[in-house]
Amino acid sequence: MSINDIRQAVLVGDGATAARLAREELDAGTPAADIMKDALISAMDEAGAKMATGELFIPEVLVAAEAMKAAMDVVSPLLVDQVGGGRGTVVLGTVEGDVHEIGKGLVRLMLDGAGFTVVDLGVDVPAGRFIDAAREHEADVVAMSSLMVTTMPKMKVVVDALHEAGVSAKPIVGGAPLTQAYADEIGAAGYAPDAGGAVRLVRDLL
Amino acid sequence: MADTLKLKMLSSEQVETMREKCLDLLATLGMRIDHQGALGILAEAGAHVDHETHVVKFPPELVETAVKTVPGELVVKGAEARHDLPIPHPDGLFYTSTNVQSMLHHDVDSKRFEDNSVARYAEWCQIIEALPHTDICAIQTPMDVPAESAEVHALNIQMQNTTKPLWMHAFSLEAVPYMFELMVARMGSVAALREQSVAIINPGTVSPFIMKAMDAEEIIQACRHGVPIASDGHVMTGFTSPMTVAGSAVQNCAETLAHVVLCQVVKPGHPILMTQFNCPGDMATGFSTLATPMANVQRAVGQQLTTEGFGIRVSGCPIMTDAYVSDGLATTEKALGALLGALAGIDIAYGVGRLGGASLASPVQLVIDDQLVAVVKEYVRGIQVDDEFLAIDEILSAGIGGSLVQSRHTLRHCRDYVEPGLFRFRLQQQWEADGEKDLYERAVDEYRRLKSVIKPVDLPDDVRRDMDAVVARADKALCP
Repeated sequence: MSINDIRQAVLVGDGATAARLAREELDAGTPAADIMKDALISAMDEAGAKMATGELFIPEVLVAAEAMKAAMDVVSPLLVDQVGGGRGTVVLGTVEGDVHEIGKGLVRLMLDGAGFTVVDLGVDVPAGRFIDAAREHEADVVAMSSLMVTTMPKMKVVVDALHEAGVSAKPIVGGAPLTQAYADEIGAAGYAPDAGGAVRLVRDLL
Repeated sequence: MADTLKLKMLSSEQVETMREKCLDLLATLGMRIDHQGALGILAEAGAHVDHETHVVKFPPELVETAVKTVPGELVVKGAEARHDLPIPHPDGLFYTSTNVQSMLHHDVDSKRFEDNSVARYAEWCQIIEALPHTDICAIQTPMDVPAESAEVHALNIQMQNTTKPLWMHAFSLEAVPYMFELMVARMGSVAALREQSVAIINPGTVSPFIMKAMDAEEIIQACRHGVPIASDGHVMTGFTSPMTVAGSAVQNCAETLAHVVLCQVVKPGHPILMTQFNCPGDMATGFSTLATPMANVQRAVGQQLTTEGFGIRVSGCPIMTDAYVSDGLATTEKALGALLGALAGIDIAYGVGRLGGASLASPVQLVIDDQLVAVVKEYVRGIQVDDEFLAIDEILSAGIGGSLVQSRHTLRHCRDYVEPGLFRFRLQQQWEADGEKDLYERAVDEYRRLKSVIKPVDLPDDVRRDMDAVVARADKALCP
């Protein structure tokens, strides 16, 4: 039994084993923070890296995330520092006028699995709700999705509104018609081409 | 007359099972429809409407009644009758359409993707007018017009640069009335539009099981203006629909059937096709794939389910690729997809000119695909077996060790299977003398030749003025 066994259990999506091993590791005197950092977050970082190279598929990463959560349930009550899920808070939504859920939902699952606290506002979200949620949850990042050329301009509305409201959360964007050039043009802090990229982007920004 | 080759993906029992599952899904799960008018229309027709959740459940008998009124024959029309497309195709073949929404075109000189624009899109439409095997011009997205009214501008560009049928949909609910107003302006009156309906309207579901207000409005307006409809189901296998072919095909069919019911309730007998736009999600990135084997198999299965299970004509997107350049991968994927779609009995095959990714197109790929579909048609055309085609007298006449090259029979048939220029056999010496050009380079030559001969549609000044006035009104109303 070792930290690495927990890590492996998470990577193969075996939540029951990951949780049992985490409890045994705690009983053996390993600090909860070490299990969290060296087994759980490390496993999800590796899963994310393998997804980026195509070695792991999304469903396999998601089942790893579920396993991580099972172990987290054991470890987290013993963690002293629980602020923002440990990694930061992301307010997420599909912009006003756009009802596409899937890409945004995938980003939510991936961020969640990577240990971020995610506030999902759903689809067709007006700028005001992004601002209110960012304030209420003291968000580090506001992540916006759009799948239509007609709703892309709403992202700039949110970026401008965040700036005018003095909200410090960093706006990032994604969605099929989006490009890095467009993100730069509207003053977004970043652009990610896919859900795995969104996790890496948020990690880099925080 | 030869029978075209047809491929059965499903047994009759499988079709019947899947058909029943489509009806079950619509009856038990239903569809969320975000359009008050459509909810009222469907409630009055006998659907079970929850006005709070906007979920509509369709009793099987309502669906069955609607399906029965869908015409088995229809004509997709352009602005000029010479481009009319009777469906089924009189020779048992299929028609082709370009792709929607492209925001980026591959530039032949810079060799990079550049923003689609009014000028690029006008040229694109003019090339389609000149191509012999590309039948329908689909709406795209010029990036140098206001985003809020981009589709109105795009439709205006289409109608000023081609007289072929248009594959059309709006990008927002607010733009829908201007699209129809623009078509009326092009044809001169509502009655004239009904006579020569210019376009085929292409609403699409938001999978799983959501009908946007925009799409419901498009269906209602298309019925009122006499414009045919091709309804898309937009399932994304593994993400919004099951990871398996049968489940995804059933779901896609069920979603599009909801469009069919709304259409037939608004106007029984209105022409509508069901489109197979199934795209498996890539499990590594979460993006839609366009041309995987699963995508094309799933669409072919959906085609058979639609035509045999419901007696409704079918469009689909088999001429697709996931390649980002016009390379061997693009040609291979498109050829395989188009061949399977054709064998499975598609009526309108979509994707000419499309490259991979979310919104990429290429005018050179357009030229290649136009000829590629001509080749595919030769594969599925079928063969005739009668005295003329068996040619036993010719064989006997030539005798042992003889020759048939001088016979009148050979003369009559020597062009039966000739491939279009880009694909035609050439001697190695000829190829070398012409610069050893590959398919893409020869297509570039053909593209440049076309560019030198294409021109806009010669519209009367007053018609052009009326159309521009509609666009100006749309800009004023839709743009902040």
